[in-house]
Amino acid sequence: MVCRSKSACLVLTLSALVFSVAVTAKAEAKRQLVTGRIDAKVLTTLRGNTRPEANLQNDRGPVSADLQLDHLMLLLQRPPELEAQLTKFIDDLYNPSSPNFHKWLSAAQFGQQFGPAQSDVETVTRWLESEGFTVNVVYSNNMFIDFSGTARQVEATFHTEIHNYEVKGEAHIANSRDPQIPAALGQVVRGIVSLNDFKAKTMHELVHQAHVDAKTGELRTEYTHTGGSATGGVTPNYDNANGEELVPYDLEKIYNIAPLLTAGISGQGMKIVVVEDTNLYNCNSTGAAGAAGTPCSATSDWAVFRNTFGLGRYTAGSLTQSNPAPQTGANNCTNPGDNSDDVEAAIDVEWSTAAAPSASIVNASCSDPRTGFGGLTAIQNILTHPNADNVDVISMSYGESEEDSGATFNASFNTTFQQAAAAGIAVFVSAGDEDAASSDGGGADCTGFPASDNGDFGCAVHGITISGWMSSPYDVSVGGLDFADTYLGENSTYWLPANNVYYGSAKSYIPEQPWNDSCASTLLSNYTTGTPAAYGPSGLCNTAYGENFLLAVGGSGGPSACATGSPTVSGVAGGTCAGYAKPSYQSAYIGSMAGLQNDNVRDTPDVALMAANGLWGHYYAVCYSNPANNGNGGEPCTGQPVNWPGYGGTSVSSPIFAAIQALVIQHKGALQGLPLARYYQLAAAEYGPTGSAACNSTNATGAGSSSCIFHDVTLGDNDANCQSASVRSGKTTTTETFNCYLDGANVGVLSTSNSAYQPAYLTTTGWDFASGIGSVNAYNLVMSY
Amino acid sequence: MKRPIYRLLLLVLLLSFSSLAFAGPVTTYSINFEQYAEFTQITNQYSSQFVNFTNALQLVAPDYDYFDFPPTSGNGVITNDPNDPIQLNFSTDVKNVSGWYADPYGVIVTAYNSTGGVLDTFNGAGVDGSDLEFDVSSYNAISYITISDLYGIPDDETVDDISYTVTPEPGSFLLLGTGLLGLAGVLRRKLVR
Repeated sequence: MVCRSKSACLVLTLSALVFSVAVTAKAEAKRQLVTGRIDAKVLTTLRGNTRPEANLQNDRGPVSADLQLDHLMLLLQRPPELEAQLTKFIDDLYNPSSPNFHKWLSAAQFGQQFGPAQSDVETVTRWLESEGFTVNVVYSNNMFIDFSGTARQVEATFHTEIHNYEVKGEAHIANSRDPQIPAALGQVVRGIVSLNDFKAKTMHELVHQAHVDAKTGELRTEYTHTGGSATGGVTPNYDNANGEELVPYDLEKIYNIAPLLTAGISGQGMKIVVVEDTNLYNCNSTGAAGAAGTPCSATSDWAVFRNTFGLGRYTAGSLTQSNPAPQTGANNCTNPGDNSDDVEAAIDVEWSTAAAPSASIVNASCSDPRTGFGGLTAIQNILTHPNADNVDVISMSYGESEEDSGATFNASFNTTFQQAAAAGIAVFVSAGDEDAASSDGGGADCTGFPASDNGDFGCAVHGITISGWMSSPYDVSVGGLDFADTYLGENSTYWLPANNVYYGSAKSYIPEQPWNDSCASTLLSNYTTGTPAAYGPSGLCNTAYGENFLLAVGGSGGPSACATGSPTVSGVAGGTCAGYAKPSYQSAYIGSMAGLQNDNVRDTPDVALMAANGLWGHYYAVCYSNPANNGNGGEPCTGQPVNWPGYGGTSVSSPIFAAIQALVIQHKGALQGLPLARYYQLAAAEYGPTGSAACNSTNATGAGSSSCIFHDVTLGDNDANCQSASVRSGKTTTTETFNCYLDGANVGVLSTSNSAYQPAYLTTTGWDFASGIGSVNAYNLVMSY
Repeated sequence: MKRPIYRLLLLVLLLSFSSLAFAGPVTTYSINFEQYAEFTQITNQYSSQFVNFTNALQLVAPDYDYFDFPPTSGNGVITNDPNDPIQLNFSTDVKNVSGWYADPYGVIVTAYNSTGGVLDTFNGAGVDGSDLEFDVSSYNAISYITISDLYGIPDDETVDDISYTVTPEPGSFLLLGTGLLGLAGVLRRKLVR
């Protein structure tokens, strides 16, 4: 700084002094939450932090006391009044008439203004150290502390035991009961993010064998295929000429991305981060694998994907493998190498570049600590870097139900995404691939069927649940859709009979329906039996043919019900569970936007895109050539892409929507942060209180060619098949039914009532739990945002 | 007198043949699209061969659907991008334009004269997985041709190994003819004497 005169210098010095005093005063004005002596005998329980699998049946005894547990994360919390101020501040960040509009905060500013008092953070840090832990990182947001210790130290400090468990033949470790901490710390410590090693679900699904032939309408259940192995990894013998396999050209055509690319809005200067707990398979195959910021080679799967599908013309596009270290402290982001989740990473980097081919894609990964999720570490580390590494959007494709994740894990994502929203960074998260039954993660085995029955994939038994990794109000929850042309018998209306030079064949926008592989689907039932009612003894779900579709697989969505608190029955919303409060961007339009629920909680998803895995003939092509995963999708990316691995899942729709938002940011020329206030505002204007016939997805002509920004999906549902559950309480086992309408049959359908058919959930006019606002016309969104 | 007559005759002959040389002989050119990097928009890169392109994007196998749209030779082809049709504008008149195409729906190749009059049309059948030949010929000079997908869909056809014959300019023929006529006149006068 240069002063031109003494008086100017004096003014500047005084101003700086006043400012620093004001900032200090503001920081110090925060209420101190640790006011009493830390007494290890006066404890408070951190409820809702025990895995449902950590029960006597699965218990295989305590772990070695010397088991090292590195990079545990302690989540802190701010005083309630400060939380309210933060909520208001973030609302203002997105209110154009507020003086705080788009005044983003760095991590340090965020910690200073909205973290707990510095003295509380220091007290907690000293307490951990006094218990023998090594404190690795105190994040500048003052909300997370990374620490390491042994199982013995954890047990002594948190008054729980770390046990071995065997679940479905797999060995796990987990805390046997909810942790406890000294009551004096109870107000500032939210909890330990995770004390178990249960991995989250990656939100992708291989192409499903049983499907409707898009060309003939014939139902096919054969297990033969042209690629992949005979079991597990399956590429069905779909006919490429039917235009069923989605490639980037199709995506750009259907969601009207193509005119943006033509106009030069293809993601130049944008940075899209996909967070993972794995490196990519053959990215950076030479040199030190996974070194921070290493570009991937021209022979990587990503490069083959781009070249094959004509994206190579966007020469500015790049892919980087990064293992982001924290800004300060010990490096808690160890290189995970490429592990069994690498297909998830491949899907994320490939389909984000499909929508924004000139953007810089970063695969940011940290290895999972012994307990916890490496992707969370990666996000935290990025957010605390200066300018958050110039990241524009983040996409995450992992999830776990609110009930199973536990209160602190849920809160860790909410806290992280809250900070991202304050920093101007948009976070997109997969809504889930389990229909409205995320606790069932594809479904437990259905009872009453032979174990050898290949068609028996699973039934939901825990009722209506959603992922706690996306239910935060501070991320965009992206659901899953399918195209409705096959159901409507209009395949040739929307697909050309042959592919073009980029393997594409879509003609235009295509009517959509929720992605749903379950026999509970009203559309599948109607198509196969002539009646939409899939329940009851003669309903599709209880027929021999319907066994092929016993799947709780489809785009997830539902109300937040257990973000905090603790279920009474493991995995089931109940007990002291409560959902996130309804965010202002949803509550503001209740009554003025068709479909929005007046239920006081955060409802999901927000938006949705195609995510199907082939039931109606549509799925995504992915280049994933890892031979180690052959049989689970890994195939050489040679020959026609129809022989490449095929996938669906909201892990595809989330990075695509993130990439579309990157195009919005490029067009606007500045960070836009969490886009939901604007999305809902635009959708409310489009749909109004009674919906918009012109933007009804089923009227594809109108929705595809008009000024519609969003397509209102009104056909179908994301209902799952379900059964009653065996609930064990002590030595007693009872049969209970949660959100399952059985109608006297063995298999029912997910319903908000056990005694009546109230499917969870049908699409409706306007917003709904199956599709949120709906899908998007990207060009119109970018131009209208 | 004899020597000057022979000298004049030699001069006429030289002028005639030098004019022919200037216009170039009747030459057949071939373009195999192997020279440029993929996704290069082909415009005037082949102007030395008397042709400019519009709506022609260079593709190089295997970085496109070379299974359904195989190159006829080498790895390079052009596709109709960003719009249909591909147009070849010749800077000198040509004849006998031919080439190879792949297009699942078929192509329409049309040859025009300099005033836009249609000289010849070729309707090519749809072909997937191999190439078919097209040709447009005319006794009149072709000024430009269009190669259109049957439905006008961009990125739906590839073209390879185009060849055409450049004919000498009419002025050169005129000069040659004048020279020959002059020669004939000189010879006639000599014989009459």
